[in-house]
Amino acid sequence: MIQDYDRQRLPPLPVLDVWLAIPDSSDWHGPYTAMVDSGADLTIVPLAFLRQLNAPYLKRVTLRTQWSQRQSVGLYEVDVRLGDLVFPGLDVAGDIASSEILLDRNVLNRLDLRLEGPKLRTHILGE
Amino acid sequence: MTAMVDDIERELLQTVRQMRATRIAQVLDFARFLISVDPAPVNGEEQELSDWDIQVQQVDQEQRAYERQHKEILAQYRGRYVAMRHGKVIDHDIDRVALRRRIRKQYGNVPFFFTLVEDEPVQTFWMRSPHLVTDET
Repeated sequence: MIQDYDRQRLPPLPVLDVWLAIPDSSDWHGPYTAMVDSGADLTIVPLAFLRQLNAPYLKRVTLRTQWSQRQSVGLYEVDVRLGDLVFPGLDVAGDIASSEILLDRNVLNRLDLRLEGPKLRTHILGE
Repeated sequence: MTAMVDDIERELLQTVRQMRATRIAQVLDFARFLISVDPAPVNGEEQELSDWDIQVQQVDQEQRAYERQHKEILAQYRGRYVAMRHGKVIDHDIDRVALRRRIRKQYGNVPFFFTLVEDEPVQTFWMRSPHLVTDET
């Protein structure tokens, strides 16, 4: 699977189409455009998407930034699909403030991924 | 209703004034979290909660029960995933997904609190992804 960067962003941004479903349902919603981001421990999904899915709520956790800001957020469970690859039972943080998905290390660390920066495209090579 | 809210606000303020600064920050964090899962209605009237909102509230109650019992649960289940309901550990496993599937199979769509038992009762994740914001004024 190869996908072009989002060239509307400056600098251009690696993005991937993802589908979301409540666990073990295969009732996929999407595609949603997700930013490829390795800066956070876990994937972040707008709360509006999670509410639409009725995603199971797991618990409240704290998100910390490098500037020591702390934010309480809800943790939810979803299945995530990228192309033919399915990742069941992932924990994602609900985001009340944004409409963007950040695909982070709890997903990225399970992917064989290549960022071909000069050609502005992302390759998913497998799991 | 307004009078009751005023009383609660006054009591909350008095309580917060007796706390250490770090505790006050935690109260603020939690208040913001509550707003995120259950924002106040714009027109001042109480809105009917959806089933999803009610499940969130129920899981939050379970989480508070977990935090109260954290020391005991840590001693017994450190490093394992637990599922809690009605303030009790119902099941546990080292495999997060297996535990959740087992609980869903047995109890259906009933709200459970799931967590990895660690030294800190509330799990912390890091986010190091700031955005560059252009001042457009």
